[in-house]
Amino acid sequence: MEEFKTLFDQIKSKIENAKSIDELEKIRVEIMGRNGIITSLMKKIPEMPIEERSKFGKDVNDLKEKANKFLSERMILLREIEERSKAFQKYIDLTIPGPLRENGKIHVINQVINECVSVFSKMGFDVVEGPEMENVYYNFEALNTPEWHPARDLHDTFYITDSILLRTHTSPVQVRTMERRKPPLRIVSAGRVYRNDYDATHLPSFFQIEGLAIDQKISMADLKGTLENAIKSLLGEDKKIRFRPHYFPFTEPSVEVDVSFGGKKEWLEILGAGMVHPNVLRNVGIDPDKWQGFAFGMGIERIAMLKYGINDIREFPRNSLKFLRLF
Amino acid sequence: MKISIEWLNDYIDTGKDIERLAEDLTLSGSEVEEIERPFERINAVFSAKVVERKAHPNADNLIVCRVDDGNGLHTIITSDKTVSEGDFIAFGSCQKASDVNGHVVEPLEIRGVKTDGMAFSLQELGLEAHSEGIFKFEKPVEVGVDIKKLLDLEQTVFELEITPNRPDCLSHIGIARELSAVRRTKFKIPKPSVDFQQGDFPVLIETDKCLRYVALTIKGVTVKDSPLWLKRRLSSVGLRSINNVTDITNYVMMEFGHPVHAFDLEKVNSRIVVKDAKGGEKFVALNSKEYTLNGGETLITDGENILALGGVMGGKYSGISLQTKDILIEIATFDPVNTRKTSRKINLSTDASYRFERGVDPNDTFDVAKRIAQMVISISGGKIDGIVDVYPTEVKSKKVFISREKLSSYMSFTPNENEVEEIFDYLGIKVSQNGNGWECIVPTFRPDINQDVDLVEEFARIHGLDAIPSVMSMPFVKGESNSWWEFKNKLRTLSTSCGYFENVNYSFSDPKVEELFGDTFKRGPKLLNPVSPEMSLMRSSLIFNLIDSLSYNVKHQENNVKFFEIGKAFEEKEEERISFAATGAVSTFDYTDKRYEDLLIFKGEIESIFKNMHIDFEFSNEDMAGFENGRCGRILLNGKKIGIIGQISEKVNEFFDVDTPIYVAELKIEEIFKNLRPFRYESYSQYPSSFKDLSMFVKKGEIRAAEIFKTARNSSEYVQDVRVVDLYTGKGVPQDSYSITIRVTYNSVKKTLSDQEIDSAFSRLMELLESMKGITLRKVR
Repeated sequence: MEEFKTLFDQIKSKIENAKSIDELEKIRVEIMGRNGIITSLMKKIPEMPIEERSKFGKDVNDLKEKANKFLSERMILLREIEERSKAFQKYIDLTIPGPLRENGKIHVINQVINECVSVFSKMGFDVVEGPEMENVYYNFEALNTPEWHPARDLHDTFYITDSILLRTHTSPVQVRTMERRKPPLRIVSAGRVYRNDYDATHLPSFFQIEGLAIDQKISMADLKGTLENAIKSLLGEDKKIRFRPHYFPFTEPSVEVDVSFGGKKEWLEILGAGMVHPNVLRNVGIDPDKWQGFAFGMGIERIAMLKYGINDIREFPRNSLKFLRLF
Repeated sequence: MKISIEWLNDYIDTGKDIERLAEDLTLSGSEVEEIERPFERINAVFSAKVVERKAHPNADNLIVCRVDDGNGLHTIITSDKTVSEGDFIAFGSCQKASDVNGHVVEPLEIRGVKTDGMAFSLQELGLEAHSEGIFKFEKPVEVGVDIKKLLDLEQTVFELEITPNRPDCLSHIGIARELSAVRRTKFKIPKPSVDFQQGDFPVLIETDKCLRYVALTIKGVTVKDSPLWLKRRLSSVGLRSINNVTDITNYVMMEFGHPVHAFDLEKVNSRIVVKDAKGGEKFVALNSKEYTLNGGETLITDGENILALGGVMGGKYSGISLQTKDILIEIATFDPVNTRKTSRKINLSTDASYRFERGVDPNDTFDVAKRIAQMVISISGGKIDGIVDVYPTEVKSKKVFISREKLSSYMSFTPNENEVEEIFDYLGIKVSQNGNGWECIVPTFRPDINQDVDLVEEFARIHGLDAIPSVMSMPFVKGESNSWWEFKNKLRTLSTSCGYFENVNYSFSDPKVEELFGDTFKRGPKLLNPVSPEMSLMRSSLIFNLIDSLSYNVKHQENNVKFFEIGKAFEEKEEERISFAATGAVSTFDYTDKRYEDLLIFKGEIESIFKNMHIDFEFSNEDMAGFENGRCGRILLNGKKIGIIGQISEKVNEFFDVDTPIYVAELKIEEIFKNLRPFRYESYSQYPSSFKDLSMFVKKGEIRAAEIFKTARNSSEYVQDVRVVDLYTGKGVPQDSYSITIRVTYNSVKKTLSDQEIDSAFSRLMELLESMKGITLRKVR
């Protein structure tokens, strides 16, 4: 019996030391194969005395069963190990940074312009554009601002010739559009404007968006409703808005709109607006007794600064990638 | 413009609530930009009595005083020898007291005498521009009292933004009128009872630029310092005290908004002639500057000498001096446009010109004259001599009608009629009902009210803009297509998806930079008044500023820059373009992509952007100034040049201080947009395609790649696509050639192509290419 015990221990240790499925398979053949240990023991039975045969046979069978059990247990274990190792080879640490495909960004000025345009588009305004080099007529005279009008003080104008200038506001587009299209109409126009004023808080060229609505019954209540809706869409529904009387030569009555951001200075001016001046309508051949409406204009840089908390207006034309990437 | 609240209270009770007052003015159109307290930095200055006065033991020009401020005795040193024992002065202790500018009194030691305080002058108290000596009370006062209380320096001043249409609001009375309308309370204008004698001083107006000229002569005045209250009021509103007569003219201007001027009558040679300048005359103004006139300016003369530049500034020669005894006060009204022209041309803007160019009421002249007369007599003494009024054409009140319907349609509600009339009444507009509206007689101090909508504004702003509802009730309007706008936005999106960042650069350019590109671009217009020489041209191309900002970034540790901009260029005409500029790595953050931008990669990126919109360009080489020879050329669409592309020349690289090659392209997008054809869907083939690759050596300059592709495409009706799958130069390729492998896709929409059909088509292609000069076929797969 000692013989079987030793044999069993040998088999067990072989199986337990098998490091791979292949190795285990070899051991299995060694034990269970045609010329294996168990088979050779079996072959001994016929040569044994009859009385020993039964006991020996039982012992060999026992050994066989136990060996089988160990083999299959070991096989399961080795398969698990192998699968685990295969899986580890496939494993990728998802915290490794991916090779980024960096898309560019649309400049914040145009992002804000597009946002404004989209807000007004939803209210039925369509987009028109006009030249940046303008006739004095479209920039001033047609807008009820004759030469030597004190309001021209507010426009430090760049001139190309005596009669051609760089537009100081987007309002000439209103005039050009009204000359071309009959009312009713509702337009917005965004673009570059120029003022000869260059310091830490003024750029010689900046962006404005301008709007115009002409119809038969447009009132100051429509002006208020439209602008309130637009400002809240752009800057947040929680913003407080106030309308303050002001003066522009091309609107009457004229207003400025302030928004409260809850900061130190309570009200910040954000746009100018008003009912289109009858003289402007007359200048483009629209009868002010039949048609009336409102116009408004606002600075894009100002909206962008308020919206994102940018405090240096010179960032916009600097085009630093460090700035452009942020938006 | 500054308004003193204390002063305003002379005409209307403003109440105690400063914030509310500011809001009432702001919300009626006179925006309070700042609430100032002009004397607030004066601190810990008290009345004190000089109890001992001694000469400084070691300095001849100094006096040492002991003063009692009710809190003990202090030593001061002064150079003011007029100080005497028993004087009451303004005293502040060292390290405690500060002057109007906030400067704290520092201890002094002068030749062995130490001070522990200082006697203040009116200059240090902000009440006059320059003081000769220390301030002394005229009468005894209690010692130890805060000087701000004693001299009434706890003042509040509003800085108002007055819009250019409201000259009437450039005065305390004007603001009082506004407030009276907002609050519907009365206000009063000072109307002293002064009897004027018709004077006999000759006044002649020889120009239509002077609407009215009133000369008031007063004799026997004493020109001296103004009383404290007058200094205080002028100082509060930012005016310097000069002498009592001049101060009164300034005071009345700030009160009525009507600029007036005082002449020394002795310097006026017996008459006043108002006339146009001929040009070339020289004139020395009160500011001691000499001006040469252009012609057309309004001159106040005495027939010989120029006494003043009408509406702008008086002359030095005829001004008031301490010796002046008799004065002539001019209360005139000048033409707004001419005043503005004069002020612009000689570059001199004054409080007077500011008001005249906005419009001064000629009809308040006698109120103003009476007020001046009353003040001069009581402050400067003297006797009214006479008054002469020349008023060639009376300016009459305008009649403006406003219908109920117009007012309601602007306001979106029907206003209460009593309120309408009440508001107009408070504003000085005489109103009467007439048919379906109101007939309004507009006072001449309101040149801004000319038509019905101007009256709408008056009602709206006084009624309150807050009270107008906020609605969105506009009817639907059919608009026009925004396709051009959308096209540009699509270009933006596509460019960014290729890794390009959008720039918004100035549209000015530097002539030096334009020069680097020779005649590649035609020069744009020049500005008459640029902000700087570097920004004096309108850019003829967007690439200059794009390269400039690329260079800025390279210098700021950004080695890989890919930029684009959409904007106007000003070559022969103003037109919109898109430009690209790139340098460095193709992809900054993709560590699997080690490529650097080169001309073909760059070109491919631009092609991809436009192919997405079904736009296919052709390209052709052409050398251009500013670019590397052989590495630049034109971009064509349907055979027409619509842009350029290339690598920037080394010289330009050096100018911008960039080491890596820069690639740029610029395209005329208005042209491209015009050439857009509506997209039509064509069914793709349901049958499998076959692919054939073909490699060849191509001799540079002998044949253009475009011809290979054209030949391949036209070689069989079954060719669906020809593309490059490999491009190589180097080992194994002749120096004058490059190796290219193309892949031809064969396909039919009708059937699956047989091997025979494909082989025959491909053989034909090979035959065609073999027969072309400069091509050596290599291998076939």
